[in-house]
Amino acid sequence: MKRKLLLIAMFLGLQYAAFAQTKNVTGVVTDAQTGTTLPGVSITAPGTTIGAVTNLKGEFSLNVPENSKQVRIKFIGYDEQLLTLAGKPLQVSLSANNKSLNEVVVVGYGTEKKKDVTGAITTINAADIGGRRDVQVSDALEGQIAGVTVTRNGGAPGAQSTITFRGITTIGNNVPLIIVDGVPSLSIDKLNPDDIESITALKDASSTAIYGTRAAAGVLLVTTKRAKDGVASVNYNYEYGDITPTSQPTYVGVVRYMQLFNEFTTNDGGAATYTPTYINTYLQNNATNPDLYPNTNWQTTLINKSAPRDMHNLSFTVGTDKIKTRASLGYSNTEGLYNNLSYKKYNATVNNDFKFTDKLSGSFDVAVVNTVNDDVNDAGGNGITYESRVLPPIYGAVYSDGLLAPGKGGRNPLAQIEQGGFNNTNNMTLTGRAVLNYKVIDGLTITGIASPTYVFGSNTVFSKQISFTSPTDPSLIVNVNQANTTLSEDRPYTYSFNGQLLANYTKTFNSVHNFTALVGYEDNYTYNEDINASRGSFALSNYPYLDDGLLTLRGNGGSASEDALRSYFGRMTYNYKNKYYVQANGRYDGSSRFAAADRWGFFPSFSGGWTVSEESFLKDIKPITFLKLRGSWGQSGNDQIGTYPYQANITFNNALLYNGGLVTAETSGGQLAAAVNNITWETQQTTDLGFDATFLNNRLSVSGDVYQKETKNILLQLNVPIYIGLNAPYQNAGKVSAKGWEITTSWTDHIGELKYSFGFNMADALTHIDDLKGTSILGDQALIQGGQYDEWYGYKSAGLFQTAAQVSSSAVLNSTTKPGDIKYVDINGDGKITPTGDKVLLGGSLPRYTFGLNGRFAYKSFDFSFVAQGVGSQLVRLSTNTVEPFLEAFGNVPTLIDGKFWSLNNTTQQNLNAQYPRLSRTSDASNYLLSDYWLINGRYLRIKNLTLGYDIKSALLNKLSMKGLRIYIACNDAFTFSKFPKGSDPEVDASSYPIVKTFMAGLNVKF
Amino acid sequence: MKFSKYILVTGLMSLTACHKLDLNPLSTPSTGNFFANQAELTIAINDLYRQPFIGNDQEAFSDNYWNRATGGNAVTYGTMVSNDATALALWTNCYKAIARANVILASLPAAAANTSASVIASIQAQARFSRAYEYSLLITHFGDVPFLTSTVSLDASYSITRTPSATILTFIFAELDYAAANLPATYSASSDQRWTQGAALAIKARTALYMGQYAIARDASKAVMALAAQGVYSLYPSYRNLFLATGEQVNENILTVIQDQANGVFTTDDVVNEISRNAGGFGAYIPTWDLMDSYECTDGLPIDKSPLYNPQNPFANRDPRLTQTIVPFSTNWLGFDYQPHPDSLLVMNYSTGKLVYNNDTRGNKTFASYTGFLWKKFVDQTWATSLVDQNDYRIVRYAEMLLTYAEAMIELNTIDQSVLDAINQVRARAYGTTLAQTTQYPAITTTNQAQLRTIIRRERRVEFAQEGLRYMDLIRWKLAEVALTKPVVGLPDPANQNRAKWPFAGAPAIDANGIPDYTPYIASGAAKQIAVRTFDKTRQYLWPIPAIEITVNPKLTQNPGY
Repeated sequence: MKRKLLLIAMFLGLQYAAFAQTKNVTGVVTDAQTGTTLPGVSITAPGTTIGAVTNLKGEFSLNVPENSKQVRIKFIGYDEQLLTLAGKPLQVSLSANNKSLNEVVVVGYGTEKKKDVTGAITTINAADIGGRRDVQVSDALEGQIAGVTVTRNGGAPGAQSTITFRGITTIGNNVPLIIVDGVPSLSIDKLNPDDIESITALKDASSTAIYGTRAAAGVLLVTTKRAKDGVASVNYNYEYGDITPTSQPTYVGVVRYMQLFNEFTTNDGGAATYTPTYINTYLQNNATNPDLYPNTNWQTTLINKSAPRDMHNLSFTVGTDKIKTRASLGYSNTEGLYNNLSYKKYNATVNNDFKFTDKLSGSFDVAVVNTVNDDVNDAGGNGITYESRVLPPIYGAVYSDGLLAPGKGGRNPLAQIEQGGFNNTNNMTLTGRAVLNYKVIDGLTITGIASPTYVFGSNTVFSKQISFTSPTDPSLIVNVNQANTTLSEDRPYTYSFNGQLLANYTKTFNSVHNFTALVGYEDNYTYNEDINASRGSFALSNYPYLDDGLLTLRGNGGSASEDALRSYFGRMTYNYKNKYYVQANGRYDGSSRFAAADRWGFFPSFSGGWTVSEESFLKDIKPITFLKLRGSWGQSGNDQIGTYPYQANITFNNALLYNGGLVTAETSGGQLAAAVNNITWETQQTTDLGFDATFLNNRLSVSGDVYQKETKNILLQLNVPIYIGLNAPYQNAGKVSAKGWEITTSWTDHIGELKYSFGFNMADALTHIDDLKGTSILGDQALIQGGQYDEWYGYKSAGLFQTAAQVSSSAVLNSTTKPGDIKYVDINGDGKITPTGDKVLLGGSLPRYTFGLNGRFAYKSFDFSFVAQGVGSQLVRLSTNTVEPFLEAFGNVPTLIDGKFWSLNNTTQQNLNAQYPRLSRTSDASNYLLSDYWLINGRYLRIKNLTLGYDIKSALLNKLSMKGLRIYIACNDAFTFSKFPKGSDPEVDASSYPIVKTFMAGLNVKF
Repeated sequence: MKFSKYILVTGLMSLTACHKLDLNPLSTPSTGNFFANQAELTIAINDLYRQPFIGNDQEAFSDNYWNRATGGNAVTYGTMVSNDATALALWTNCYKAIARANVILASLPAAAANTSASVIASIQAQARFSRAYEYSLLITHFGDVPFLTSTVSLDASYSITRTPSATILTFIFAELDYAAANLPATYSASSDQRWTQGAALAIKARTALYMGQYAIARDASKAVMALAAQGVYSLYPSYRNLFLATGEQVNENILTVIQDQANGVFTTDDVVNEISRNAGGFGAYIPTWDLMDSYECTDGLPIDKSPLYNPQNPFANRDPRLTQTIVPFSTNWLGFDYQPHPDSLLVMNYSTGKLVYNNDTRGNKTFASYTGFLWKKFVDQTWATSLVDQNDYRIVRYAEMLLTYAEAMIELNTIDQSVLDAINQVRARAYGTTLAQTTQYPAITTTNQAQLRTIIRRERRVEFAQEGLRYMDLIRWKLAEVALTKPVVGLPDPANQNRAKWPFAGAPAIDANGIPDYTPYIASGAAKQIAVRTFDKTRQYLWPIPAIEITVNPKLTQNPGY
C-alpha cells in the first residue's frame, strides 16, 4: 500500500514537472576557507533529476521548475548545502568537511566516532565489498586492508579464502573471529556481499581485547545493511559473468611422451618400453584406429573453455519513525570449469528495527543462507583438475563410436564426470537475532541480545560403478572403475547460541570531560552432532537412496560434542576536549575446553591518543587538517584446539574374531592421544603505535601503524616420543612473535568534472618462532626455534651432478644417485646427506610486503574503478606438479621441462645448462625433495577488478518511475604480472583448481 | 513504572541464557574411569587384534615380487632414509600396541576386585603376548630400540635410550613362555577364537630363528609340533585352497588377522593390480622370474640341474606349488585363457566361448605383465567381479613351524630323521600325498648340512611365496646383498622375442643360495632388464630409527649409515 502511494505520488510529480514552467537559477561557488572558486561542484534541484555543474570559474546556471524552493550543492570533500532560492544569484561558500572523521565506526559491542578511535582499526564500506563483484566475501577482502592477508584456495565455485591478521598469531588456528551485527558467526562467506554495509577489522589488542579469548587472531566486525528513516525503495541487480582460467600448464604430445618414457625407464635400469616402430607409427595408427592408439588431450577433454555465473539481488527497504525494515533476497550460481560442478548461494534476510517508546527500542533479524555445492564423485579423490593434468595422451577417454573408453585401466575422469555419480553438499544456516534496548536514564542504555544459529548440513556421495568395454568388442567389459556402487550420507548439525547483556553509559561533564563506560556479560554455547550412514553394492545405479543398497554392506556412525564460553567484560573511555584520549578494556573469560582450575583468564588492554591538530601550535598550519597519535597495549586469548583437549579419551573400533565358524565384530578401544590436564589459555599481547592524519582539506589521508605482538603459552601438539605409543597431547609450549608495520593512504580530488580518488595500502609482518620447548615441528615448512614461522626447511642444492666422478666423490642421499640428479650440500660434513644432518632453514614461506591499490574515477554519468593487489616478496616452491614428470610413474611430462632437463642424449654443454634433473623414478624421491633448487621469488601484481559503469540519467527514468538505472561491465582477476613459469598462477599450484578470470555485465535498477 | 522497569530488566536478562562450563565428551569415555571391569578390559584387549598391529613384511621388499607401477620401493631401490614412511609406520604401530598392552597390564590389579581370576589371567596373557610380538617386530627390523614394559610419564619418556636387542630378546622369550603357559591350546567352538598357546610358541620359534637362537627355535617349534600330535594343528591337504576363503579357519593356521567385507575390513588395491588385464586388472604386481625359476622339477632337482625342465614349457614337470602360486600359461584364469605370448593377439573368453582381444600380451598392450607372470596364490575367481580382497592375513601357519624346526636342527648340525620328516611333510602335502608315500613326491634324503641348508632355503621360498616371509629370510641369511643387487628381468619386447625360444631361452644357473643368474640372457637379449635393485649392505640390514624420534629425544642413537 505504502509503495503504491509512493508510486502515485511520484507519478503525479512527474506529470507536474513535465508540464510546469521553469525558472533560471545562477550562482558561483567558492571555498569557504581560501575564497577560491570551485569548479565541478554539482547543483541539483531536489525531487527532480535536473542538475548542473560549476564551470572553471565556479559559476553555474540551471533551469528549475517554477515552484522549486531549494537547490542542493554537493562537492566531494565539502559539506553538502541545501540553499533556499531567493530570486537572486547565489553566493555559495562551501566549507571542507570533516565527515570522514565524524563518521561513526563499529567497535566491539558498540560504536565510536572515527576521530575518537585509539586502536588500530580499518573500515571498508559497501562499495569496497559489493563493488568487487565476488561471490564470496573473503575474496572481496583481498588487498583491501593493510595487515589483513587473504590467501585464496583455488578458484573453484564456492571456494573460501583464508584470512589472517598481521602475520601469524599462533601455531594452530589463525582464523579471525567474525562478528556479524554483534553476534559471532561461523563464516564470513555465508553472507551476501550485497547485504554488507561495512566491515571493520580490529587489528591491535586494545580493540580486540574486549572479545577476549577468541580474538587473538584478529576480529572482523561485519555490519549488514539496515533501513534508514524516510527511505522507501526497491533495488534489483542482475549480473551475468563468464569465467575462464587465468592460466593452465601444458604437457608434451603423445609421441614425445613415449620417447621420454623410454628415456626414464632406460635411466632407471630397465629397457625402453616403447619400440621405435611403435612410436614412429603411432600417429598413423591413431588416424586409422584411434580406439587402440588413443591420443587424448585430457585437459581440453575435461576442462571447458569457460563457465557461466549469474547473480540476482533484490532488496526492499522502508523506513518510518516506528519501524524500519530491509528485506533482501540474493541468489548466485557459479558453474565450474568441468561439467556437473556448481555452487549456488541463496540468501534471504530481514532486518527490522522497532521503536516502541522513547525509552524502549529493539531489533529483530532473521537470516537464512542455503549453499549448494554440487560436484562430481571423483573416485580417486585427486580432483578433476589434477586428473586432467596427470593423465598422459596414450589413454583414451571415448571410443570413436561414442562409448566411454577405460582411460588408464578404469581411471577415466571424463567417465567420472559424466557417469560417476555425485558428491553434493548442502548447508542451511538459520540465524535469528533479537535485541532489546532500554534507556534507563539519559546516557544509560541496557541492551539484551539473544541469537541462536542452526546449521543443517547434508552431504551425499553417490559413487557409481562404471563399466568400460573392450575397444574391439563393445559387449565385453574390460575394466570397471570400482568394485560396486556405494552411497554415503552425512548429516552434520550444529546449534549455537549467543546471549549478551550490555550496559552502555555516556556522559559529558562541563562540556570538556567526555566519558563512556560499558559493562557486559556474554554466553556462548555450541553443540555439534553428526549422523552418517552408507550402503554398498547398489544393484541399480539410478536410485541414490540407502534402501536400494545391499543390507549386508551397510555402515553408520554418529558422534556429538559441545563447548561453552562465559564472559564478563567492560570498557571505559575518557577524553578531554577531544584532544587527549585514554581507554581501558578488560574481559574475564571461562572456557569449557579447559579443566575447571585452569579455565578462567583475564585479558586487559589500554590505549591512549593525542589529537595534535587540536593543539594551538598546529591549528594554524593549514596543510594539516587532522593529526592524531595513538598507542595501545593489550592481551587477548585463544582456545581453539578442539573440544576436550585436556581429557584423554578412548576411541572405539572393531576387532574381528571367529566365533562358531563365523566372523564376529567385537568392540575394541584404545587411548589414541596423551593428555596434559593443566593446559590453559594461549595469550597474545600486542603493542601498537600509530597515527591518523589528513592533509590539504582532507584530500590526502594517511594512517600508519607499527606493532609488535607476541603469543605465549601456545597450545601445541609438541612432538613427543612416538615410543610412548600415544599421539602428541596439547601442551602450553610455544612462543611466537611478530613485528610489522602497515600504511594506508588515499588521495581524493577532482579535475573539473572529473572526480577521482586513489588508495594504497601496504603491510609487512615477520613472524618468528621464539620458543618451542626445545623441540621443533619439522616438515617442508618447519617451525624451528629461532626460525621464521613456516620457514622452508630442506636441503641446500649445488646444481646438478654432471659426471659419475662428481657423484662418487660427493656426499649423496642414497646409492641410486647418478649424474643428472640434484647435488645436495653436505652441511654437517659427515660424508652423507641425511634428513637429520643436512636440512637447513631456507627462508620464509609467508608473503611479505602485501599491498593493495585502488582508484575510482567519475565523469558525468560514467564511473570507472580498479583494484590491484599483490605480494612484494615471497619464497615459493615450484610444486612437484609443475615440474615433476611421470607422477605416479605414468604421469604426463610438463612442456616446461621438455628440452631443459639433464639427459644422457645431451651434449656436455647442454647438460651444463640443464635446468631440471634427469628423468627417473628411482631418484625422484630425492630430486623433488624440498631444496632451494625449487624455490623461486613468487612476487606478483594482480589486477583484481576493473569496473566501468554508466548511470542513465534521462527523462526516460522518470517515465519508467525509476530512481536509478545503472549498467556496468567488470572484470575480476584481469591481469597478473609475475615471474612464475608459463602456465602457473602465483596463487595456486599446478594440481589445484585454477584461479579464474571473470568478465561480468550487470544491470542495477532502483525504484 | 518502577514495576515495568523491573520486568524489562528481567526480560533482558532472560534473553541471555547461561550454559554450564563443565562439559565432558558426549560420545566417548575418557581414560580416567576406563579399564575398570571385564567388559572394558575386553574392549581394550580386542584393540590389539586389529590389522595395523599384526602383520608380516611386504612381499615387495623381496626378490619374489615386482611392482610395475613403481618399479621398486625404498628397500629394493636402497633409498631408505631416516624419515622413511614405511619404517615410521612400523615403529609407530608397534609402540602403540605396546603402550596399550602396558595400560591394560597396569589396570589389572584394580580390576581384579570385580573380575574373575581366570579372565584376569587370560587378559594378562593376551596383553603380554601382544607386547612380546611387537617387540619381536621391532628388534628384527630396527635392532636396539627403546624398551618400555610399563606406562611411562611424558617427562620420563625423554630420558629413555635404546636397549640392546639381546636384552629385549630375553624378555620376549620369557613373556611368550608366560603367554604359552596361560593361553589355552584351543577355544571351544562357540567362543571367540583368541590367541592360543600355539601362537605364543610359534612367535617364539620365529623370533628365535630370526635372531639365530636355534636351540630356542628348535624347542619352541617342537612344542608346536607336539600340539599337532595332539590334533591341534595339521597340514591342510590342499595347498591351493589353503590361501582362499575355504582355508581361513583350518587348523594349519596358527595366527591370522581376519578380513571381512561385511565388517568393513578389506583391501582393494592389490586386487586390480594382481588380476589379469583381460579380467579388468592391471597385471602390475607380479611374480618375478627369480621366483618362477626357484621351483624344483618333480625329480626334486632345481631347473638348471633337472633333465625334466623344458624352458619352452616351463610349467611342466614342476613342483605343484608353482602352478598354484603363479598362473600357468594357456589355462582358464578369471574367465579368459591366460596367454602372454606376443603373437596371441586373441584369446578365448570362456564365458562367451568367443575369441577376444588379448589384453594380457605385450603384443597388444605395452603394460601387460612385464615378466609374463601373474599371481595365483591368494587370488580366487571372485576377485574379478567383487574387486575386493577379504582374505585373512596368514601370519603364521603350521608348515612354518615344521620348516623352522628343520632349519634350527640343520643350523645346530643335529640332523636326524625328524629333520627330514619335517621337511618332507611339507613337500608331501604339496604333492597331495603323505609323508610315507615317498614314491609320489621327491622326498629329501640327504643329511649333508650344506645341502640341507640350500634345500631348506628353497623350500621356505616356494612354500611361503607371497606370505611376506621372504624379506626377513633374506635379511637373516645375509642374502639380501646378493639377491637384492640383481636386476629384475622380464620378457623381451615382442619385436625382439625369439619365438622359437618362448618364453625362456634356457634355465639360469642357480647358486647354492638359490639365486639365479640371468646375466647371459640379458646379454643375448633373451631377457630384458626391467628394473634395478640396490642393497647397501653397510646399513640396510637394519632399518633407520625414525629421524623424528632422534629430533625429539637426541639421546637415541641412529643405526649405522643413516
